[in-house]
Amino acid sequence: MAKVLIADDQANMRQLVRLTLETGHFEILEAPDGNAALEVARREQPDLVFLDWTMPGLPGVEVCRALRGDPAHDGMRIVMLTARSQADDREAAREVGADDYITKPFSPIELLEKVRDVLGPEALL
Amino acid sequence: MAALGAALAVVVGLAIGAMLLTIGDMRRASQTARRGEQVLAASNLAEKQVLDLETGARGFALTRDDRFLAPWRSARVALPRQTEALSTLVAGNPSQAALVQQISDGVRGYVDDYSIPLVNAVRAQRNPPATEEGKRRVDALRAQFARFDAAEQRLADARRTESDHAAARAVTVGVIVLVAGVALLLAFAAYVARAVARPVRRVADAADRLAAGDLAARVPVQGRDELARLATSFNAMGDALQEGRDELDSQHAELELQTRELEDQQQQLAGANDELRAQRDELEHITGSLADETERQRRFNDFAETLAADAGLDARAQASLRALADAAGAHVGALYAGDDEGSYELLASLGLERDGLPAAIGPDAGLAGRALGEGGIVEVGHDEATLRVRAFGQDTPVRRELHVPLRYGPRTIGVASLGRLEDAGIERRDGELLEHLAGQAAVALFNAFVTRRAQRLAEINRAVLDTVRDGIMLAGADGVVLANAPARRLVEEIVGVPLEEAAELDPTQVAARTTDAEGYLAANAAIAADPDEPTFDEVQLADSGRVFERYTAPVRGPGGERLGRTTVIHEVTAEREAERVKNELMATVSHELRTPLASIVGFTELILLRDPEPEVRRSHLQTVHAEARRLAELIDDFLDLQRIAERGRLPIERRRVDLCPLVSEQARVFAAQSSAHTLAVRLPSDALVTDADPSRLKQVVANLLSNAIKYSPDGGEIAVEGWARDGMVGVAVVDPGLGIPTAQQERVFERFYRAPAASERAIGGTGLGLALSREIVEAHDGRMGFESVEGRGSRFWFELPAARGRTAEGDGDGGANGARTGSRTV
Repeated sequence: MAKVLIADDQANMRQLVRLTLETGHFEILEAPDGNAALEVARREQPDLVFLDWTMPGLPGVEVCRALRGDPAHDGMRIVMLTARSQADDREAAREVGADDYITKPFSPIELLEKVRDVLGPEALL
Repeated sequence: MAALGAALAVVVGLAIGAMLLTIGDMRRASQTARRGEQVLAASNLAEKQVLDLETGARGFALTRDDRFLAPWRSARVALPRQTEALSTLVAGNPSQAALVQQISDGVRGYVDDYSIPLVNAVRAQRNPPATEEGKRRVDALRAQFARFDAAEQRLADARRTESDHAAARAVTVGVIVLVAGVALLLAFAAYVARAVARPVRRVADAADRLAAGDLAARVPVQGRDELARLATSFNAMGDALQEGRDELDSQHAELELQTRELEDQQQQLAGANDELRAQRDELEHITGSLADETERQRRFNDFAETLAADAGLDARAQASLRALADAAGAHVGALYAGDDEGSYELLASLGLERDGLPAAIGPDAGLAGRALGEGGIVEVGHDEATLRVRAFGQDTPVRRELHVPLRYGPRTIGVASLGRLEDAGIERRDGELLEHLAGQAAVALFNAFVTRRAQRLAEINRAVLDTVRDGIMLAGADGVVLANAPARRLVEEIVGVPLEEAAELDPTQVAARTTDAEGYLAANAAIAADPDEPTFDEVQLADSGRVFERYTAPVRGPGGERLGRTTVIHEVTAEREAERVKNELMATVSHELRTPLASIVGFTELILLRDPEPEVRRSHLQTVHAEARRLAELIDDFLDLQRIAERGRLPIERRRVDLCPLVSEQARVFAAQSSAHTLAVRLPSDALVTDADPSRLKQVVANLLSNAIKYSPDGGEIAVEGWARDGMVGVAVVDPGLGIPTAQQERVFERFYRAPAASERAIGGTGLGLALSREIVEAHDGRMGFESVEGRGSRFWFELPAARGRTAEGDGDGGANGARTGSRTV
């Protein structure tokens, strides 16, 4: 069972992602800000992390950069899930090591497809 | 007569001869007498010398003193010579000569036999011989001398007597000769009077007559003597004179004739001379006229040169007026000309005081106007003192005025009004000249007007160019041809040196000042590569961050010739900054809109996909609803600011409002959104009544509460206060949050400003809230402010004018009642 961390300051968003993924077999973890996200990610070693960009404390890209700077987390899949939609933002996210990028608003189906792409089709079974 | 003369000569000669004979006798007698005296003197001297011998020898013998020997010695030497001289003197008298011989012998014997031996004996201290011997001898000698002297004395007496006789004879002969001579002279005179004086007088008379002019006077010739010859000569002279006189007369007549001829010639010459003088005067007159003409020509040349030179309008007008006045013989004048017909400005004056002249005239201006209208010279004479102008510093009568139109083609561009102080018309030639000059002046002034217009256009162009904010410059092959003021300023700001020195700069130096050195050099290369291609590039300065657009394009003249390349420098720093801000805003707005949209889209899709249980669906729909509301508010904020940006002020609808219930309601809403924060609402018991737009005030309070919560990320108590004082009602929201750094505080109300903490801590927001809130408060004639300490929190407040009445209208009474219960924690 894959572990998925959802880091977003908006409770609505965390709920939406969890509801979307609840049909699959995932262990869902949540963090309301960047620092919490980093701490949970290090402790729980999730297979996949959804990172909001604009969060209190550490912004999502900085959480990503920190995780990618630690070899212990090689293999961890990181997807930015953000309302920032500029091309520059996508580029910045790729530079810090994000595997994929989803702009808000998003459809639950789109989110599931991203999970399937990143973790493999078996992750949704 | 000759005989008489000869007789006279003989008598005189005899008389003189007798006198000579007598005188010879007298001289002989006196010579003999003088010889006798000499003999006596010599004899006496010899006798004395003998006595000197005797006395010297005797004195020496007695005294033995050598002094006595001095006369002795001299006498001993002199005595023989004395006796010799005496014998010579008496040589002609044998008796006396014999006596001298005896004396001489006696002396010699006395000396040799007595005196010398005596002296020698005395010297030898021997006994001298007896002196009686000496005395005897000397006495004998003295006796001889006496005899001699006596004989000589007798001889002398005889001779003196004979001499006296001879003298007496001489006197007698002389008297006789004298008497005879006188008698003869008298006789001769009588004769001469008779024989010589008369003929001479005749000759003299004739000479007098001759002298008086009687050339016919002649003397009768008598005899053959000198007088006859004289008469003959005189007569011949008279003839010669008569002849000479006749010749002179004829010569004189001839001379008179010649003189008359000369006088005639002289008169002719005088006539010719007068004619020549007249011709000379004529020539001088012509020369003078020529000089005048030359002077005029010179002035006209000056005029032409002034016109030809690059002279300004005023210089041309002044030269034209002077030339026209010269040609017209005018003393005063003024020149009016205009670029457009209808108004002519005063451009030049001559002799006249400019202040007294109208600055401009129209075609209705009297005689000048007539000249302008008709296009021909208008000329009017005046009686004495009719027209007086202020000229040369005094009132001057103008006797004649001329108005010369300045015509160029069909146009009359001006008029020269000229005044003459004498009443004389224009000569025909001057008239033609005037028109000719007026034509030249018109052309010159027309050109000057055109030039002035061109210059004004150029000045306007330059002024216009200078008002453009962009730098505009034209650079040709020889450098910068034209540059407006901004171009100079901008170029210097970009390249770092004044425009004039910019050409000498190394382009790489300039490139080094920019953020994109390669791009700058590439743009320069593109400009150099194709002179016909316009270029466009952008330069940003590394140090100031200022951004400039550079547009360059080739410029061609009307004939297609290449003039150079214009460069337009347009600073876009502000535009770039605005663009950046706008982009950021767009990103922010987009982000802020997407966040509620994400919930809306996501939850509605979940409902649609999964068709959940009613409770779940309801929950989802509530979330969707709340987020949709939030989205609407965001859009409202954004549109409000847009409206303010467009219209300057926010439209408000005033009503009487009590702030207390309004604030309490908002506090309740925000308290529900955050569990980490407590809200302490402290409102006064009295209503805070103001005239305002309640929905706008709600916006303001909500913004302040929202900020207080967002910027207090660690939670804590948010205090909400209300008050009424000094005619104002106020509300403040106090948070214990991050605060605002002092350096940033002045920017807090800027649109789109967001505190540094906002990005550091990813605090959401548009940066529009406070800007909009202040706009709303100020739209209500209120004011808004804050106090903040970084790390300690902030206190934002606003005040509005209190309403005049006491009663609040409308809704919110319940909230107000609740607020009156005092502080409470939500």
